[in-house]
Amino acid sequence: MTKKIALIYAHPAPNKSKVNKYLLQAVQYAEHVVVRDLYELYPNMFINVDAEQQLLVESDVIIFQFPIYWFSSPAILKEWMDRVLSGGFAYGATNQLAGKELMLCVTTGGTEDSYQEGGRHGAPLDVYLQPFKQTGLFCKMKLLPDFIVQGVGDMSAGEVAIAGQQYQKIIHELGKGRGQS
Amino acid sequence: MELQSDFLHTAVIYLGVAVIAVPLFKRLGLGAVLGYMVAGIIIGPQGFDIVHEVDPTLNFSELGVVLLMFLIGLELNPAKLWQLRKPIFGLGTAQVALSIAVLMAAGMMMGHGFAVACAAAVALALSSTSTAMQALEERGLSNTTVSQSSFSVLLFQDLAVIPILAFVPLLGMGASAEPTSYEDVLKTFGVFVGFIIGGRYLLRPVFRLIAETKIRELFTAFSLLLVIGSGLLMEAVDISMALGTFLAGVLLAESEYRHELELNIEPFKGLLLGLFFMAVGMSVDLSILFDRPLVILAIVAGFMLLKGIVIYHLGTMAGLTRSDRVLFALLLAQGGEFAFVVVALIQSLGIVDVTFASELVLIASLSMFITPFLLLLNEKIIMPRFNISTVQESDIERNEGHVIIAGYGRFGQIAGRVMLSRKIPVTVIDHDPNHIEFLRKYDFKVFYGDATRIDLLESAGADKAKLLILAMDDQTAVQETAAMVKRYFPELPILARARNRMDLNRLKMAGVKASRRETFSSALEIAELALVELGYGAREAHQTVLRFRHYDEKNIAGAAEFMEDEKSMINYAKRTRAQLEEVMSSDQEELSNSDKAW
Ligand SMILES: Cc1cc2nc3c(=O)[nH]c(=O)nc-3n(C[C@H](O)[C@H](O)[C@H](O)COP(=O)(O)O)c2cc1C
Repeated sequence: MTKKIALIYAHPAPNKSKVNKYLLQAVQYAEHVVVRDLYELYPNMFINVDAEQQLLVESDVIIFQFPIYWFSSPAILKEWMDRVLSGGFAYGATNQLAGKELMLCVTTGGTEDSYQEGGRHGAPLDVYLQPFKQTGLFCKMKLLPDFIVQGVGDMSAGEVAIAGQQYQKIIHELGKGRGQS
Repeated sequence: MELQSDFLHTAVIYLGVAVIAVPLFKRLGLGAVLGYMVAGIIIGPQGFDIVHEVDPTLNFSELGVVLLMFLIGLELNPAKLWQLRKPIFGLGTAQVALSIAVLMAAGMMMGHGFAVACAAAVALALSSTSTAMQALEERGLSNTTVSQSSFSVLLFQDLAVIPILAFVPLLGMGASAEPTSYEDVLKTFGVFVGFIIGGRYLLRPVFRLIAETKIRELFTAFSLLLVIGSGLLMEAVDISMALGTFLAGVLLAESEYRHELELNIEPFKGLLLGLFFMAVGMSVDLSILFDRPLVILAIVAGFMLLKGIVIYHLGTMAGLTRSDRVLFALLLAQGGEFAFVVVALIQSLGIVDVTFASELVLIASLSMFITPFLLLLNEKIIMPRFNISTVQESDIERNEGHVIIAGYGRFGQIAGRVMLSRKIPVTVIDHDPNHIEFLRKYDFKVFYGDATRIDLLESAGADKAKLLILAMDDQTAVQETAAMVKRYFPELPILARARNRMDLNRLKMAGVKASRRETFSSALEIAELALVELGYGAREAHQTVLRFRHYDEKNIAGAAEFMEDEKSMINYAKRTRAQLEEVMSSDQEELSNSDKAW
């Protein structure tokens, strides 16, 4: 049985994205993927909690895809977490997310080597992703390996295309239930 | 010179009494119609006899009724008229037929012969469009269900006049009515087709031509020409002028010059209708009344009662609420201007004699005269029984910390429903009895009446309320009420509905806490949808519109100081528009691609 994937996408300006838009295009037509483009769906940040929870229940894998903005995600993903991952649904005795898998797909402007102690970004990227990962763990979800694209500013079109292909492959494998571990 | 000064004399007299009597009567709450009529009585042959010749005035001023019908037509486009077909033919037929039957029976019981009773019944069965519509308009009830039912009946009556005028002669010597020939039918048909085609294709270019000359009075002249011309044209094919112009109005209801026409005709209508009511006042032969006051008054009362009862019951058929049925009956129970026409006809045919004819005219006039009083009585004494009586002190006491919403139409309702969804106690003030009775069913606390009246606000608990929302349609009323409430209840915060940008500043000056333009938000939402449709991201579209709102509101606040000076206002508007464009496009850079900088 194929796994179902809920791709929670948070990018405020589709027309101005260089990488994320491309990554999304590479996977959004796969049959087992349902994309929730949060800024398109909820431009005024009013999130339809029922619909979001419903989707999560029906999915096996949840992906958060976003560009790093100020050492975190764009604001709407936080709002999404605050409202959708409510007590009794995402944690507590009646947790409905337990056992599902969480994956992060993240892009950064800064290059990999700027992400270290003493570098421009002060710490490895993983430090900044901790809040998202801990959220998954708190909800008794299993973590999948991250998909990271860094140094976006210097990427050529070819490099973006290659990243897209890699992303596509991972999503494809995930669907078969045999994601890399 | 002689003639001219004579004319001017008369004009001064007419205008003079009108200017004195009408405001006085309005003040007294008796309505303008009555004011005109009394003015007419005063200057007429029965009063000081300043004006002796009534008939020319009456004839001339009937043009007022014609203009009124045209304006009513303008408000109704063909689609709306089609929607009303059921009440027009159902209610209308029933009213005319039943009223004639009942009145005729009464007449025969009084000992009149069949023909006389029938003719008199026909004359009195028709109501007064001018009295009823004017009364509705004066009370701001033009868009209510009663108004619509009344209008339907009145319109049918106007239609019925054609067959009636053709049929009445048969009562006399059995003279054969002219058989309608094919030719006539064809002629009528031709006129209609000409009208529709002319209205569609000819009128626009002509209007445009005239508009381009930029001579305003030419436009007015053309408007009048159009109305009167179409009236005469219709008359030429045996359709009453009133009905003809009404149809002309309907045909023009969808043209883009509708508002211009309305604006141009309105003052003429007002003046001529006033003149018409004065003429009615003058033509009342009071000597008959003074000879046999009790008999005449009894007849008037009996006549209106019978007709009123018929109409009241028809109100049930129209699905009107109880209080509306009373209003409906009172609005239409009187005899109307067509009574004069029909009476003149039956008199000339020898069906009735002169004395009886003038009695009929007197009865019709008196009933028109009484109508405003009855309506006032209804408002002050009967209406409150339906609506306010259940709201006694106890209710008001419970009403504490509530929100008062004045005006519960499309606007107020939305605000009200949000409040209710949060179980916030709401008290509603509205002057449409239909809203009221509907709301009562849902356990709203409702006050019938005019929110501009401070006593009403007081009994709605304005001193203990948390908030007042002024959601009336009438912007002048909103602003007046706001100012007044600030004087009497300075502690009560007010939110208000505004119509345009200027209103925002005016309301602010009146002490309103915040106000919103009635269509602004939904128009912005459409703009947002448009941007999305054009390929903008939803988020960007939303932000664009929010930014627009922000700057627009800022600019309006900045315009407050130019409010009274149109020229600098326009300058300011131009300046801010340029600024706005600049600001909006520079803001677009907010998420620029500066990835390398990270
Ligand atoms: C408001 C904002 C904040 C950002 N903050 C960071 C940051 O803290 N660290 C970083 O490496 N890049 C940062 N960036 C760069 C984005 O991460 C980069 O533009 C994005 O990953 C590129 O993806 P895209 O082409 O799909 O937009 C920021 C960009 C913006 C617009």
